[in-house]
Amino acid sequence: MKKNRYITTLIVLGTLLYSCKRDYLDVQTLQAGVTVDKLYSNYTYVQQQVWNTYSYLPNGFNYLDMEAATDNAEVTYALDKSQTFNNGTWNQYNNPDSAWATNFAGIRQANLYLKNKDKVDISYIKDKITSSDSTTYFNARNNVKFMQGETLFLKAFFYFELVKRYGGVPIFE
Amino acid sequence: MKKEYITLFAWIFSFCSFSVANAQTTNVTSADSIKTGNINTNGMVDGGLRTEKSWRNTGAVFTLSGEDLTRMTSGNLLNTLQGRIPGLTVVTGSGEPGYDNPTLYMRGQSSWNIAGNQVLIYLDGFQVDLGAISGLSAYEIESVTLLKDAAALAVYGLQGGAGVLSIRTKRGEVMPKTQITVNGKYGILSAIDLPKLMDAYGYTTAYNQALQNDGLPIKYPNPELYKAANDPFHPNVNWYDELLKKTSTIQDYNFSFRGGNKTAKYFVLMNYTNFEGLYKNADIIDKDFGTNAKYTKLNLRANIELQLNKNLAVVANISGITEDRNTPSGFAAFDVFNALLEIPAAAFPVKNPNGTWGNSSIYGPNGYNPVQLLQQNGVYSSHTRTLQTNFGFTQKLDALTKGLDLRGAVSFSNQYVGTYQKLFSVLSYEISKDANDMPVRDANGNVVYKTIGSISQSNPDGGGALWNRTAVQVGFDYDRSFGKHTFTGMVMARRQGYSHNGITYAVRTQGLSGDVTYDYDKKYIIDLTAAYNGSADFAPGHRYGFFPAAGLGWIASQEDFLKDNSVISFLKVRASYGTTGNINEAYRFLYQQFAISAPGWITGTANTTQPGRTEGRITNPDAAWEKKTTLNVGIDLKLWKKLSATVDVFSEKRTGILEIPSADVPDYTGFSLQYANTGEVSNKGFEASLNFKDKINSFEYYFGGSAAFARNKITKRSESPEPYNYLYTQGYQLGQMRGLVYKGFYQQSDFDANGNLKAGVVSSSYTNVKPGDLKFADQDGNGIINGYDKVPLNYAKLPQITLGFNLGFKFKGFDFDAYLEGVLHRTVSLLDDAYYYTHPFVNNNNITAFSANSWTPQTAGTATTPRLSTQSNANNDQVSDFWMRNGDFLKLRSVELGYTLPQKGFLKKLDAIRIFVNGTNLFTWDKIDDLEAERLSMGYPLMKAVSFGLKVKL
Repeated sequence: MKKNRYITTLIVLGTLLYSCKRDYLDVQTLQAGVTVDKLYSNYTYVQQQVWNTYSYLPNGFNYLDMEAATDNAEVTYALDKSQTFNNGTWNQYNNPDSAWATNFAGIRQANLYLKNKDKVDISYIKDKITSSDSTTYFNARNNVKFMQGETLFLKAFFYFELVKRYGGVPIFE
Repeated sequence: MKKEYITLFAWIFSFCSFSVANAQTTNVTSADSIKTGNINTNGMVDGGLRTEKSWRNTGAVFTLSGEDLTRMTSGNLLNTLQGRIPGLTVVTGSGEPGYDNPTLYMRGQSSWNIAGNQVLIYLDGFQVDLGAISGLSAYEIESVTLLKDAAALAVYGLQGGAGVLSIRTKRGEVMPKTQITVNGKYGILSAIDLPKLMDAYGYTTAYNQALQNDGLPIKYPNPELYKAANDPFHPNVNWYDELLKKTSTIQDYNFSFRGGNKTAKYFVLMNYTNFEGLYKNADIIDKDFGTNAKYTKLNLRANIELQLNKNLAVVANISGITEDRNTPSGFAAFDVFNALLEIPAAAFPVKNPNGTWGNSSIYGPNGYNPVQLLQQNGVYSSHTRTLQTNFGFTQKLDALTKGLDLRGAVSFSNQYVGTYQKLFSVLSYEISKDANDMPVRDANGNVVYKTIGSISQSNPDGGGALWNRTAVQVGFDYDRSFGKHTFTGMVMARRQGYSHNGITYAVRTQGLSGDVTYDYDKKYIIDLTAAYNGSADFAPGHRYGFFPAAGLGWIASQEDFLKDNSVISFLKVRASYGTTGNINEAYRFLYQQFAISAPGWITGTANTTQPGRTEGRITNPDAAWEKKTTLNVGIDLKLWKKLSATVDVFSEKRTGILEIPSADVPDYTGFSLQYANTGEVSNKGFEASLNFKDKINSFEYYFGGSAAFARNKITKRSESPEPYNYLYTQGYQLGQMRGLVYKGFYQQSDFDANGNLKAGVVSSSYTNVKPGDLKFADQDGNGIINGYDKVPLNYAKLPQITLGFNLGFKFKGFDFDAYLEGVLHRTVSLLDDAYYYTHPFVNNNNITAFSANSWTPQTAGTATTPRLSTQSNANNDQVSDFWMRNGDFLKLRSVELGYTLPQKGFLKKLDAIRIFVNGTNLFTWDKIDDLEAERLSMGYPLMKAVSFGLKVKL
């Protein structure tokens, strides 16, 4: 009799444990952060994605000191990156001109845009039009087309930068 | 029977609504039987989640009794562990009252992720943070156990990979009368070693020399002026003397009640600690706006066990700690001690001739007169409140089957640190000086001052760190013998939740742990342990892991051929093999990918910065814990019932160490990979301890020693391609020191008449070297010193070997105990840890004893440091063995002499009165000139202490 009571208790205990509704390990009940889907569907984020692609362009002022690797300039600072060329210590492992990695990273960003370009949704801008002025919508519609052109150009430019330096390089679509 | 139902339901309810950890409520360790070491054949071994009779234990564990911790005078319990447990490396932090937590490592390191080496701390069977232990009183500790191998750690599953330090507090005992104990201790502390600086004359002459070396005009035309003791225009200030006292104090008082009968047992303790800092005259101007460093602590503990009926026992452990820390506002101790090093004796007087605070805009951190900030800048106070509770029950289920217990427990522990500042800043004044180093005077002959700083007041109120942990566990214990066969076992379901400031989602784990131990005739032991548990950090479907371990033991001394052996009284051979895991709070939710903000672009005529956004790191749906597989073989031996020895040899391999395996992915993909479980580190070593105890008439004596060795090696790591093998970290130990190899100084003979390097002499890519700069070995032979010449050198900062020596005696009421700790195979870098000490004049820095023999053309043959210069020198500042020092040291951690008064006359009614004198860290032997090896005398100094105390037992 006593035994049965214990067993009943244990069964009840087990059932109750099992029936705790939510999985204790699901801590992320509220999701914070922009999902990748949103990146390509939300007009604002798409624009930001294209601007990010621009950021892989060579930024001339950041490379001004590279002039010191030529005969045009001298740099007094001993640790300047151009000195790696001046004292001949650059090699395949250490190249201060990081064009290889940077341009391929830019190409990937461009490809990501081109792959997802049709997902952008600007209908909400149209829905927001309350007056006869539709400029915002037309601008957005045009900009979606422009962005495609901009990205194609950027991709071409990144390849140009690579081909200039390395000749034949792998092509990624 | 109804009662049982209620208990169970109450528990189930709490399980669904709380989260959890674990407790050990049964198999109470018999309080007096714990001895140092792990072969106390009568006692129990505490495994945190489980306990086991020590003769049946097959794992590598080491238990230290709480009494050993009371021998050191320290404001932080963790620092009393230094060197005492073989296999536990305690890396000392600062000496500052209240801010002196050390870092703990079990068997060295086996992961390059910091959290991957974090030892888990268990208090009374539940996990807590390190900060909850530092505030405990040594007098409430029963035992400290380090669990080292898979047999001991597998029950912790994916959290056991870095070892567990399990701490048990004292509990009540059945006694005829309540035992009341009063302890008092008063200690006097002084700094072990402070850096030695040059005086004002030394500074000014050396500075002139440095300017000459740089080809600049000298600054101090008449250094002789700085020899005068009290010329405010040519000061000679010893900043250490101005700011620091020679000694400070620490006081520790506690009383405790311990007792019990068959139905109730209790241990209650109250402890008060007051630890004063070294700052001098801190409250001379105003108590409220200038305060010495102070750490005040109050502990309360009540551990209660009740036997409610024949079958049901409950236990409640409750501890509350309040810690209040005061420091002068406006500087952290590390800043002020850097400032003491940085500000030259000749910089400015403490007070100007007109009574205002002296200052200078060029020396040290801007506007930094240390004495002013100490005495007249306000107070920074931090208040820590810690609450630790756990409640558990044990229900005997002998009715169901004999030897079965049901036990469950709930724990809640938390800590909150709140901070409050009263800031009050006043002006200070700099004496203007002319080109001849004389004060500028106006038309009336008055000294011209420049004003520095501003007047302001504020009282910022800041919340600080907080954490809380909840834990629930329930399970069964089984213990039954059938003739010569004995089975014990347990199975336990656990839930743990951990949250702290700075994290969005709680760290949660849950799962089952269990073990089955079988012995035949107390000779052959098989111990199978396993955990199946999961963490919220991973993708659904990848959350749970299975962590098994097996231990085998053979008690040879129970065999017939050894049973009555007069030499060998106990001999056990044991081996264990198994796996544990390690989750890491820094790398969670790697299976998710988000669009994250990224560099943007500047557009338009207005130069508008446009934000960018991109896909985050691609997902790693298979991300998991780091995994450790450990093989441990050990021997426990006792000879002549006097000499006991334990040896453990281990080989462990950590796999799945988190890293970004970028070396395997070509750059042309443009990817950024997610962290993946790809790294591997192996770690091998041993621990050995030996204790001898004997008695000659009434003279009892003991001595012992321990050694621990652990050497790891990175066996797999994703690294970018390098031209030479020595440039990879793979193949070397974690934290391996690396650098250029020092080959003397560049001498004048290395240069031609125009000051250019001669052909064939190595040049440096870091700067245009001059005579007196450091010359290095050109490892790759390309004629120029650069990053490819940096080779692995010496050891790492974390020692490979720790040693402990202990001896003591008892004779006619007198008792003596001494403990020495040694550390070997350790390398420290002055460049990393003592930059200001070793780099004179750069950024208007001071000059110290280190640079007393610097390179000049005259001393070229004997110089020990490079030429003085007022400019930084990137060549000399490269990591190199010139800056590395042998970091080995030996410290007399504690020495204690006590006398227990005979129970005569009026003392008859007392159980015992013991008076003692005790020394902590009294002697240090190391191989570094002028600096203390452990912390290189940087920051708040490490302290040595002499203390006197009294213990009364009623």
